[in-house]
Amino acid sequence: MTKGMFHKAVTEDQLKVKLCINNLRKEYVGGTRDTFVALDKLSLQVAEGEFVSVLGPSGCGKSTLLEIIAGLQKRSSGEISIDGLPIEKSGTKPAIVFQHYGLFPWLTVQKNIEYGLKIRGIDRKTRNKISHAHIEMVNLGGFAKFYPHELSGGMQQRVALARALANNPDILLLDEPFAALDAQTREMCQRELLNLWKQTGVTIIFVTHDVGEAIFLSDRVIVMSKNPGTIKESIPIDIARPRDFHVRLAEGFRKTELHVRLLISENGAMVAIPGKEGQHG
Amino acid sequence: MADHKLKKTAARFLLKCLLPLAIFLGWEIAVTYGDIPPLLLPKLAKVGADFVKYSTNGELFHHIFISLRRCAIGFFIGSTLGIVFGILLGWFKRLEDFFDFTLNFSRAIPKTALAPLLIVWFGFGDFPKVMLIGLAAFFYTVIPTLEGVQNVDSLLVKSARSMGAGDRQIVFGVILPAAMPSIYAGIRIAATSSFVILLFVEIISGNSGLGFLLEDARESLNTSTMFMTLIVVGILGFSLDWLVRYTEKKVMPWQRGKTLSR
Repeated sequence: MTKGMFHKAVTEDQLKVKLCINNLRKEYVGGTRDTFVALDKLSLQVAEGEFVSVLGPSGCGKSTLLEIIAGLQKRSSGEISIDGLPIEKSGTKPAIVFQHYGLFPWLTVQKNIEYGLKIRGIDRKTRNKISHAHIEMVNLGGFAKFYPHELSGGMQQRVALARALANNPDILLLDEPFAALDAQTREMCQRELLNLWKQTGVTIIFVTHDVGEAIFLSDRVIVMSKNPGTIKESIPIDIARPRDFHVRLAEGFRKTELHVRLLISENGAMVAIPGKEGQHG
Repeated sequence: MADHKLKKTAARFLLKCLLPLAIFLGWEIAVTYGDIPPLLLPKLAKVGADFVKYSTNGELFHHIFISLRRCAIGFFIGSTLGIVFGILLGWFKRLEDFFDFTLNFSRAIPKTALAPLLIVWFGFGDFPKVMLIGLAAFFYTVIPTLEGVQNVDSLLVKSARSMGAGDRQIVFGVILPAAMPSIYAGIRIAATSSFVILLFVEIISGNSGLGFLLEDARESLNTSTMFMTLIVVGILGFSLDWLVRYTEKKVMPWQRGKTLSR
């Protein structure tokens, strides 16, 4: 509960290392194609309670990285440990939220949120209590019995967040969660995410294409390069929390933004236009 | 307000009844005033009298029961196997490849074309009839199920896996419900065609059932009994379709309000 209360950027040596990735490599051995190296020599440490964003050009393996951490894909080599234990042996399971929500259309909001709990064999009464708490937490009170298709995109993504958090994960992985939302909804969801992070103290790894979003939310921004995907630079963000959206206008913010944009574009995948909301490929 | 709504519903109901009533009226006028031989178009009263006759001596319900039993057994066995098989093929890629040619060749043969062969093999009893219906139900469900399983959004599977679901939980808790709209599309076609094939096979090789009743009436030039049977067949087909739609809503409550049609 206290971990998220740090209003300053946390650095690796200040706190316990939550997630440690060492020399990770992921290659796809295609039948007809040549072997494709998605990730190589990737090392990363994330502190407990830290909010880290991952940026990079399309195809740099950001999503692959998240799916490997989530246990959805196998790595080719390298080590990943959580709390010092190899990921296969550690009891904790990172939760993941996708851009397109991945909600089960045949389950109501409540049943969606309870899915992971049911899988783990938690009794009905406890499930009920947890799901209701999480429905309130993402401000969806009154929508428990709704089906996903009856909700707006922003609401669906909040259900997906609640579903992930209901499993009480140590690590929350977010794969471009707000990319499909309109600008207003996105800003609202960003603020809500920061609140949830503060409340739960969960460690967050947040993949995005949106440079401003990454800086606004994070303690640290990781920029990746592609072919093969690896970490290019790690940039600490020293903006005091709580942050409001006017911090985006501060000079330091804009300088960091420009720096990150240039870093990404050096890869040839994006042309940075300083001072303008650029679009990313 | 409620009164107004009631009136509207009643008006719509009347409108729907208008055409059937007009048809019956036209029929009655034609046979009363027109010079139509009863062999081609019997009097409505005669059709009604036949219905009373066949109902009271129990013959009609005897044939209905036999027909429905054949249809139900064939449909349930066929479609259950079709769904199970479709899921297995969708889940195991190798298995699909193994059956690919066989399945696609066999389904290209209209099932009615197999009737003569099945009669040669198994005679005129219930078994070849049920089997033919079962075969049709199988092929009408296996392909939509297979396609439904293959088209399940991988995001749903990933979500479930990330929350610790195992293969069994994914098959029954994710794949099956996610493929359900597609499976149900197959079930609907299977149900309708089961009924069609039932009548076909009873007409060509029956000694009981509604199809037999039709064919028997034709042989004895009993047109009124034919019309009586046709009306009964129509009512049964209509009920069958209603039943399938009704269970569809019960099985997939989340699909309500999602369709464009009402």
